[in-house]
Amino acid sequence: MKKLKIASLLLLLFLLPQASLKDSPFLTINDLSIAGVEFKNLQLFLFESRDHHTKTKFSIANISGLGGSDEIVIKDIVCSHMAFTINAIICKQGRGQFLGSGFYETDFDFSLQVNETKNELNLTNLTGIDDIRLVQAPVHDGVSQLSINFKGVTNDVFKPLLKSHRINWEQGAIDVATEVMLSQHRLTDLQSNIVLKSISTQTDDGRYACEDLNLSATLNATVNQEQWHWQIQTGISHGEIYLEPIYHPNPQQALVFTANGLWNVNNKDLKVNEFIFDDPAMGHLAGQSRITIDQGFQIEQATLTFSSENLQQLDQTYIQPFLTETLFEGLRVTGAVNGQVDFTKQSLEAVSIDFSGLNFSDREGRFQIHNSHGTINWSSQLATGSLSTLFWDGLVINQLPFGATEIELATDNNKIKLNHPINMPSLGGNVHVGQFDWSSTTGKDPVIHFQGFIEEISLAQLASVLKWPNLHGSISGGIPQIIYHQGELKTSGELWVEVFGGHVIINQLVLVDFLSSQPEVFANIAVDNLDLEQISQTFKAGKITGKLSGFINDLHLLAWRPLTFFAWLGTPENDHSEHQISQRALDNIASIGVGPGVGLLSTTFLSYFDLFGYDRLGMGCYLHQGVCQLMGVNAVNEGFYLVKGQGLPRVDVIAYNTELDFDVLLKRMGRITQAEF
Amino acid sequence: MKKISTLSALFLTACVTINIYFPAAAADKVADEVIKEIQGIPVQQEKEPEAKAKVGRLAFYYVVDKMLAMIVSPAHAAEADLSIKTVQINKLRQTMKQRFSALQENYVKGNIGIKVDGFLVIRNLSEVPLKNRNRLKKLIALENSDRQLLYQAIANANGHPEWYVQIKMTFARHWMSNAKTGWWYQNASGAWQQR
Repeated sequence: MKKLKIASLLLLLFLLPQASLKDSPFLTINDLSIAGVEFKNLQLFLFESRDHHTKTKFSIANISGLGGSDEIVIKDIVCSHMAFTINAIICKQGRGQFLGSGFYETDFDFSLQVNETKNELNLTNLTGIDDIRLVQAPVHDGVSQLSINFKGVTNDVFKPLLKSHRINWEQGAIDVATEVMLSQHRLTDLQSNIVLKSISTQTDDGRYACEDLNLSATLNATVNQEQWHWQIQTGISHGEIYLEPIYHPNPQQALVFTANGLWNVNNKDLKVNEFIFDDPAMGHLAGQSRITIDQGFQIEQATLTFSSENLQQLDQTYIQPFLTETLFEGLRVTGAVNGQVDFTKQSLEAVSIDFSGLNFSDREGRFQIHNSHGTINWSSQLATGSLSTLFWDGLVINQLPFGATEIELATDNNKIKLNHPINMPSLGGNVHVGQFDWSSTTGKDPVIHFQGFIEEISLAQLASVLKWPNLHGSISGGIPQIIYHQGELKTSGELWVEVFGGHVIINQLVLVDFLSSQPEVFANIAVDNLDLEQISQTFKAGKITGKLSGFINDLHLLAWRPLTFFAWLGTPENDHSEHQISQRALDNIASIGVGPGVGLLSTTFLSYFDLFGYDRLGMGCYLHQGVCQLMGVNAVNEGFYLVKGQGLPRVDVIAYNTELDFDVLLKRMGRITQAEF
Repeated sequence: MKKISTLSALFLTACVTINIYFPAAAADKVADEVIKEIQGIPVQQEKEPEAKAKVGRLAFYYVVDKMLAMIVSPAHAAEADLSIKTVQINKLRQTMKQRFSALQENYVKGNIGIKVDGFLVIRNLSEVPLKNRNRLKKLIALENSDRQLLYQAIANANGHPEWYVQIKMTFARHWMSNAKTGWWYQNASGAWQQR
């Protein structure tokens, strides 16, 4: 606009009567002010050239006040070759100097053309810019069009300015082509194309950066009664981007972002009719929203839809960087997903997600899902009655595997509830879940209720999974009401297991941090009338008939390894069952107390007897700091009976070591179950 | 009189009060040894200090002191060693040794530096290729976490968890003294210096 004023001024000068041809100024205006722009020392020269033609030279010492700022100054403007016609003013050769707030200074050449159809100003030979072209043309009454083109803008222009904002623009150039429509000097339409070519820039701290970036962006905007209708389209065809903590490698296909909407200047109300972000290698994000920014950024309403056929890539690029040093670091996800998320008044209102072929595992392998598909629906309103269905081929929780299962959940507000009981195949048996519900109240930890039973779980498979000594047989049992609250899992009743013809009852079971790598378990366990024949057959430790009862009190496991307990297992009082024990079983019991390689019976006449009678057998252990304080059925001399014989021939097993390293004890017991006789 | 006072002094040296003190010299030795191992610097075998001539009065005091020690049986407060032979410490040393090769180029380029407390910090993230920035941040977090665990493990292994701070300070000095030419470290006033 200021340029047009200058052109008008030149036109005015042209209309003045001609003076004699002299080198001295034909016209001098010391000070001139037009619309806040100050002109100093305007001079017009008329002179005769060597070919005896009249030439015109024009100069302005200083122009200030451009853009309402005193810091932007154009000075030493000289047009040494001006031409005037009845319809036009033309300056073919001009020079000047631009001083911009101390951040950008340049000399420039210019050419100017002012006529009835258009006014055009071209600037060349600038520092850091290839050229600038401004064209103003009237369209019809009161309406004109202005084109502003900057070509090849490099870091020389903005370096000091960016430096003050701790940004380094290292390489690349920008082209900007803008067209505006003006009606009665007011902006009505704007179209701007910005092209970034091989841009490398970053903040001083390196947290935000791009390298060799090619980006093109188009902004279209029209105004109608204080309301702007805008449209943006951006494409990134090349370059690496780092927006801490996200790193996006050079895209194989262009990333595209488009959006359109309305902006109400008075209400400061931003409506995004539609936005789409496409990262072809990873996924598609779209949505619409209405945002007010009058009193801070407020989402009045928003809907996001998303889809990805490549969750693995999406996870690596966009999700994992945010999970560093959390429980979910190293999470691996593959599969496909699509869904929708709705927000109202800054709050999440509804979620709907469909997924298929989903495989999921955390770094430690504590939690895994194989080939899962289903739908998750959730609403903030309890009355909505949202249902979610999940199916998986396999699930692993803390190393415990579960087979193919389908579940249906009611998922609304802050509650998740299992709608129908489910059976999950596991370790050769089944885990039946009769009740599961999760609820969370704002500001409080979630509470989980669980109830179910297990049937025919293979002890061999369980022992293998948990890296216990080899076990045989199976277990069944009831899982009472379990409550999980504040990282602790507690049972409100007895967890009972039917095993080896008797019962094992677990009381006061508490699991702490059981989803971590260091879960802790506290419990009291009662063992009632287990059939020793089944146990001895299972462990292949020789034959023993009779019953076994006892307890493991104050059990404390850390990472599934015992830290402390007080245990006793032995022949119950008033047991009237048959009490027989084989040579091998006797040797094995003796080896627990003494160590391997005893085999005393096989070297004596007793080797002719297969079975021996016994009165009582039993062993106790108080585990503390890795050492077992051992005890037996009865004290004798300085030792204690592990087996107190009965009948003829009578064999007693007496141990004298009252302390034994627990790891050694476990190894000896493991060796018994693995030994082949 | 002089003989009596000398004798009294000798008796006093024989009555040792048991003080549990931080074995600074042993900690220096351990820190230097561990850091050199992690950084792949050959450790020079320490030469036995040459026996000093026990001549004149000193020799006399020494002999008398030894004799008194046999009678009075002083509590031992000899220079303690700092134990670093636990599974956890060995694992940490191995992990840190493996990580060092990845850290080394960043030390050399000045991308990372040693803070005055001996922990690492990223100095010039902007000099790191974009694709390596998250990895470097992760490396530094892991290294600092392991250094912390190492100091605590050494303190625990010697039955004095409260020595953590002194062990950390000792290691801090040795991380700096073992820094190679071109590496950056923070001096006591917090300014960065290049070795």
